[in-house]
Amino acid sequence: MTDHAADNHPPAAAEDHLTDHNYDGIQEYDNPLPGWWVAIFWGSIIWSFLYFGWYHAGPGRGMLDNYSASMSALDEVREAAADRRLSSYGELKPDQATLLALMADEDLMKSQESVWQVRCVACHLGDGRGLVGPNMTDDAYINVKKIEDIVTLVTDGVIAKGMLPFANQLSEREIIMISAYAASLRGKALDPSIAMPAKAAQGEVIPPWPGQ
Amino acid sequence: MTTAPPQEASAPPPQLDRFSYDDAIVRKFLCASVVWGLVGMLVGLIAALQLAAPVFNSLGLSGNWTQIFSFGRLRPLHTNAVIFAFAGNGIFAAIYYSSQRLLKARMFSDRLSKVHFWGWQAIILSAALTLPLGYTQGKEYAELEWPIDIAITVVWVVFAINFFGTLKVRRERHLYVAIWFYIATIIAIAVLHIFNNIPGIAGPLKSYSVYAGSQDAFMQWWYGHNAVAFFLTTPFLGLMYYFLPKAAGRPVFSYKLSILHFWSLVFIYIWAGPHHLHYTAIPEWASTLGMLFSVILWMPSWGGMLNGLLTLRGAWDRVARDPVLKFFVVGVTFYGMSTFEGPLLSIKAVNGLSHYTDWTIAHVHAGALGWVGFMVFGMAYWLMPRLYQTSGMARPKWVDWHFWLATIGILVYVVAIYAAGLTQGLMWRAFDADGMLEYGDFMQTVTVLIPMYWIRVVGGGMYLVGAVLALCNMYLTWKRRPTQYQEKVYQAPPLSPGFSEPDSHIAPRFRPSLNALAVVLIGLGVVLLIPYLGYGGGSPESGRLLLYFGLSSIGFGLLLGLGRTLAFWQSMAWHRRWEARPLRFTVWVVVAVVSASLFEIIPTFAIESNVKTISAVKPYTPLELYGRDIYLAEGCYNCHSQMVRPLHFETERFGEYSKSGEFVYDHPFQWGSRRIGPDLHRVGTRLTSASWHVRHFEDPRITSQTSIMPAYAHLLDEEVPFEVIPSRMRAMKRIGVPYSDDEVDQAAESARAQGRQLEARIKTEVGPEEAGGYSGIGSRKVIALTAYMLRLGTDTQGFAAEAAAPQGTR
Repeated sequence: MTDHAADNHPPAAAEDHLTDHNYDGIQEYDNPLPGWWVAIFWGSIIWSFLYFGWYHAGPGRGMLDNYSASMSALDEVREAAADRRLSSYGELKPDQATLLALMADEDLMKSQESVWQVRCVACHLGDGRGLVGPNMTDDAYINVKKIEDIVTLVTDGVIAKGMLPFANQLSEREIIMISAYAASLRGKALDPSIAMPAKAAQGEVIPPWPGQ
Repeated sequence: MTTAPPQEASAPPPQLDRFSYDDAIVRKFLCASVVWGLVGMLVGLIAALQLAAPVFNSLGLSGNWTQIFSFGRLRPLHTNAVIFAFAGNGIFAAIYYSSQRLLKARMFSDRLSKVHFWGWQAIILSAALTLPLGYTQGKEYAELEWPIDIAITVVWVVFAINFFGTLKVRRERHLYVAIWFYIATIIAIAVLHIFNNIPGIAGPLKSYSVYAGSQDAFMQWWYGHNAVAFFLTTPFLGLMYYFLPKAAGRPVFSYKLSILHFWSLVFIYIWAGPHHLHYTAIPEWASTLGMLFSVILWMPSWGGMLNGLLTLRGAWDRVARDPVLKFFVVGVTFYGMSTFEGPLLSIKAVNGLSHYTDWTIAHVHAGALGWVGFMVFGMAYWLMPRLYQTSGMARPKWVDWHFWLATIGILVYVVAIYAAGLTQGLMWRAFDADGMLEYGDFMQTVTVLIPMYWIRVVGGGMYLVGAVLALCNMYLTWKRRPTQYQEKVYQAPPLSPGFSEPDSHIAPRFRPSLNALAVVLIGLGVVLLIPYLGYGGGSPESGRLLLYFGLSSIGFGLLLGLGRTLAFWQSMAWHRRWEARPLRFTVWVVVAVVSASLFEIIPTFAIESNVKTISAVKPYTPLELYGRDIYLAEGCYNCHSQMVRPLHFETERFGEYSKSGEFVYDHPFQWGSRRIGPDLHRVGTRLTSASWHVRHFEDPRITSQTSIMPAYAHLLDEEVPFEVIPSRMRAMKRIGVPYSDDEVDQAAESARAQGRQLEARIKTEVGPEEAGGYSGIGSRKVIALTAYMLRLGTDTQGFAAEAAAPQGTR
C-alpha cells in the first residue's frame, strides 16, 4: 500500500513474483512476509516470555498485592483527611457535644455527601426524604430519642426493618461523621429535583437537637 | 483480470466432467442474511432506545407483553440475530458460492444444502420465539436452550458433511486459503458449541450449565471469545480471500503471509479467552496467558488485513469508483482497527478501566458493523447481479448512499460509545481529596451517558437506513431477473488418483538446531538444580532470580529453535503438499484448536487450588434458586455483573471482592460483562431491606428516580409455580449441588415457608399502615427474586441474613 499506492497500471510491481496457483482466476504473489510484521510478531512472543517470567516467577507484583497496596494507600489518604478535618475535636467520642460540633462544621458536612451517596441513598434518597427508610428531614424518629442514638443505630442497624449495621463497613470515626451528617439533614429543605414525595412522619416527634 | 474458468484448461484430456454450480442456495442464504440482518439491527435500535429512554421497554404495551420486549430479553435477541442470523447466513452464502468455484465442484448434495438452509432458519425462528419469552441458559451468545442447541449441532453436522463431501469430489487439487478458513470455522465452532452447552436438563426448555462459577466462566469465555474468532473472523477472512481479489481483479498479495497468519491465528486465538475475565475470580496465570496470547495475536490478525489491503495495490483508482471495493476497504480497515484494539483491551491495566463499560460495546460494534457488516454488504453487492443474472444493481446510486450512511453511521455510533465508556470508567474510579468515591451514587455515572446514548441511536439508525436501502435494492434487482436462470455448464478433468507434488514443491529436510537444543538444556539444568542449591523451600530472592534465568533461557532456546524451524517453514513447500490433502489439513486444524483448548481447560478443572473451598458457602434455598431462575429469564445479567474485582474503587463501591469459592453452586455463573446497572454480587450485604427490593422491582424509578432499568411490576402479580421447584433442584443435584433427597422432596413447602417469612419481614419493615398492601406477596415471583437478592454475597460476610431464611434450609 505504501510504495505502490500511486500505481494505477495493472501489474502492481515488477519485482512481485507470481506463484503458479490459480483458483477460479485468483492468483497469488510469492511475496515475502513484511519485515516489520515478522519483527513485531517475534517481539510480542519474546515480550510474553519476559512478562510471564517477571510476574509469575520473578519479582513482579500480583493482582492481590497490588490491591492491598492501593487499599493501604487509600486508607492513608483517608486517615490523613480525617485527621485534618477532625484535628480540632481531639479524640472523637460518640456523644452529643461532638455530634453537634461536627454538624456545625460546614466543610466536614460537605465531605460526607459522597459517603451518603454510596451508603444511604438507596433507602433514604439523596436529600434524606426517605423511601423504605424513614424521612431524615422531619422531626419524627423511630429509634432515636437523643442525637447520640443515631451513632448506635448506624453501628448496629435495625435488621428487622432493613437497616444495615455499618460496624463492619465503616470505622468508628467514619460512623460518627456520617451520623452527624444524618442528624444535620433534620429540617433541611427538600431537593426540588426529586419527584418522589417525602416519606410521612414515622415514630415520635422528639425535641430539637440541643441548641438548635 | 478476467476469470479463468475451468474449461480453459489447455489440451483437455480425453474425459472431462461436466458440472454446474448450485446458485439457488446462495440466493437463499444471501436473502436470509439481509432480511435477518435488518431484523437484528432493528432490535438493536430498539434496545439502544431503551437505554436512552426506559419508556421504550414496554413499547407502549401493557400487562405481560411488557416483559417480552424489556431490555434484558431484547439484547440477547439482538446479539443472536446479528451473529447467527445476519453474519451466519452471510458466511453460508459466501461459503456456498466460493467453495463450489474454488473446488470446481457442485456442492456434495443439493438436499443437504436445503436441509442446512431451512434447518438454520428454523433455529433462528425458534430463537426469536424463545428468547423474548425468557427461555435462556443465561450465558452470553449461548442463550439458546438445550433442544435448540441440539438442533444447531445437527444442522452444523449436515453442513460439515456437505462441505467435506464437496472437498472429496473436488476437481481442484489444492485448497485455496479461503477453504482453509472455512475448514477452521466448521471444526472450531463444532467443538466450542458442544463443550460450552452441555446441559443439566431440568425440563423441556430449562437447563443448567454443568459447569459452575469460575469454571463455567472459563468455559463460557473460551467459547465466547472463540465464537468471535471462528464465527465472525475466520469465515469472513475466507470471504475476503475470495471476493476481494475477485472484485479487484488483482492477485493476492502474499501466499506466505496467508499460510503464516492462518496457522498462527487458528492456534493462538483459542488461548486468548481469559482476557474477558481479568481481575475476576479465575487463577491469575490464566488471566496472564489470556492477555499474552491476545497481544501475540495482533500480528496474525494484521496478516489478514495486510493481505486484504495490499491485494488492492495497483487497483486503488478502482476503489474510488467501485462501491464493492469501497465496502471491502472500510471492512478490512475496521478489522485492522478492531484487532489492534483487542490486544490493547486485553492488557490488564487497560482492561481494569474498560471492562464492564461501554468501551467493550464500542469495540464489538466496530467489529460487527464495521468488519462483518461491511464485508457482508460488499459481498452482497458483488453477488447480486451475478446471482440474479442482471446487468447490475437496479439502483447503483443507492449503493453509494448505503456506503456513506453506513460509514458515517458507524463512526457516529462508536465515537459516542467510546466516549461513554471512557467517561463511565473514569467516573467509577474517581476519588476525592478525602479518599472518598467522587461519584458514590452509581446513578450519577449512568445519567451522564444518556446524551451519548441518543447519539448512538442516531448513528445506529443511519446504519439501519443503509441496510433498508440494501434490501430494497436487492428486491428491485431481483425483479429484473430473467424468467429462467441460466445454469452455466463447466468442464474440468477429475482428479487423477496417482498424484505427486512436482519436484520444486518437495520440502527440504528439517534439521533441528543443536545450538537451540543446548540453550534449552542449560536452562532446564538451572531450573532442576535450584532445589539442590538450597533454594527449594523458602524461595528467597536469589532462588526466584535463578528460576527466572532458567525459564528465560529455556524460552530463548525455544525461540532459537523456532527461528530455525521458521527458516524451514519459510520455504512453505511443505505446506503446498498439505493443501492437496484435505484430511491431513483438517487433522492439523483439529490439533491446533483442541490442543490449545486442552492446555487451558485441563488445569482449570484439575487443579483444586484454583477454586478454594469456602465452608460457609452453601447451596441456594429452593426459593432463592427459583429467584435465580427469574434473574436468568429476565436477562438481568445483560446489565448487572456479579463480580467485585480486587480494585480499590470497586470494593469501596460494592464491598469485599469476590472469591472463586463463592460461586461453586452458580450454574451457570452470572458474572456478566457490562454494568449498565451496579454490580450485584454483594447486594445482599448492601441492600438488606426486603421491601426496598419489592418496590424497586415494581418500578425502579420509585427508588432511583433516574434509573433506566425496566419495571418488573408483573412479578408482583405472578404466582411462583412452586410445583416446578423440585425438578429444578433435582437437576442441580444431578450436576453436583449437594441437596439431600429430603430437601428436594420438600422444596415446594420450604419455598412457601421462606416466602411467608419474607412477607412477614416486609410487613414489619413497612409498618402496620402499609402492611396491608403486601398481603399475599409471599407467594409471588417478586419474593423469589428478592430472596435471591438478599442472599447474594452474604455467605462469606458473616452476615446475619437469618431473617430471610427458614430454619433448617441453611
